Amino acid sequence: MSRAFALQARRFGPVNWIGCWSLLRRQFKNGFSDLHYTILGPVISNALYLLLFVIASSSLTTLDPKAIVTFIAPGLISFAIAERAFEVSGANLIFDKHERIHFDWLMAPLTPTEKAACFALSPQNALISVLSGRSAMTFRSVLSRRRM
Amino acid sequence: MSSPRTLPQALAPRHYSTVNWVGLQTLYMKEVRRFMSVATQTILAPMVTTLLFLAVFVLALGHAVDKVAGEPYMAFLAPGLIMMAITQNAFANTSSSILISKIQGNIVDLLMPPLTPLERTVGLAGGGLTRGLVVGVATWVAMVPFVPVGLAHPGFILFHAVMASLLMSLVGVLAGVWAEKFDHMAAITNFIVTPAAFLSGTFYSAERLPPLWQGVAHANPLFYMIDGFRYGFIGHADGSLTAGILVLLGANAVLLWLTHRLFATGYHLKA
Repeated sequence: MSRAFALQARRFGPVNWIGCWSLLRRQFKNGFSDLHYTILGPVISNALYLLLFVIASSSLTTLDPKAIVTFIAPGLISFAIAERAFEVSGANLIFDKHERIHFDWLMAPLTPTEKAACFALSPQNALISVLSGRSAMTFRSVLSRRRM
Repeated sequence: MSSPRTLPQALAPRHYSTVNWVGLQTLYMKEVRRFMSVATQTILAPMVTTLLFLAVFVLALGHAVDKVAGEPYMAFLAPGLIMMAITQNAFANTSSSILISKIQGNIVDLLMPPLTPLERTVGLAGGGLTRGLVVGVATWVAMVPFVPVGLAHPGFILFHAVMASLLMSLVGVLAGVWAEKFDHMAAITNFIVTPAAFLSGTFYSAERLPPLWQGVAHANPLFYMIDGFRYGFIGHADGSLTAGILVLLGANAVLLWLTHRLFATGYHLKA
């Protein structure tokens, strides 16, 4: 019985969409497995930085706390995104290498461009920016209701 | 036929005196070598982070602040930042040591040797204490070229640095014993340790806070660590120094007892 058909090299189109989707999903699941660490941590840290600046500036200076929040919040959010984006891809790679499981994606039929794109596209960043933005807005509305 | 064997003397139970000094020293040195072998991450990184905090706050607020507690803002901020580095690193040393050992399964190396619970407590906390002090000295040395910090009361600096390091090392041991995965530890760090360190008067004077916030600050042992430590540098304290010393001594005594209990009972360590 001939098995020649089954043993032929598998052909993908210009992009291996299933492979890309699998790697992206794996990245996504890794990022969301420890929510305290990956999502809540940066959000809480940034809310703390904001609180700290407001307490420090309102107790030490005559600056308007509301104006400080408006000015600092976008900077803190982009800071959180940049930090997490670096950490998600960097930590995943180093963890895989340590655990010797990087062969899982080295061996997969993915081109270097596909691998690079999947590691770079992390859906977490969008979520962190939304959550940090939300907490900053809440904080600002509390400040506008109550003079510090 | 061989002659009947007698038990060699070397196989008899070994007797230690009151303290197993060799074991205690081994555990302590293991804890110290553990962080010294990755000094970039454990000493240089906190040093650079602290300098960055100094730069950010001085650049952001320095021009708008006249003087705090009679000192330039930079001189007021520096001791608080050094103390923040000490506490965070003392905590990180013991907590990560225990948690990683538990996850990797080499916690038996801590549990099997002939060490008493007190020796385990002292050995681990000693490692954290050393890391806190090493980071504190490194941060202080790095700040000296930029900040004119004096040494008003060196005894207070030393006492508060040692007490704060010990306290956070013991809190780290408790956290490490309790936590079962990195997520738990991240929760403790993010929700308890970092907020407590940030909101304890490192960056501002508690005297100028609204009464409610002053009350919150005074209920936090970290406030007394920073306040007493800062008094050692600039000669000004926001709160009572005697109360601070008593709080730190009391908190350390309670934590030592609690850690000893956990090691004695094997809570979250032995099946």
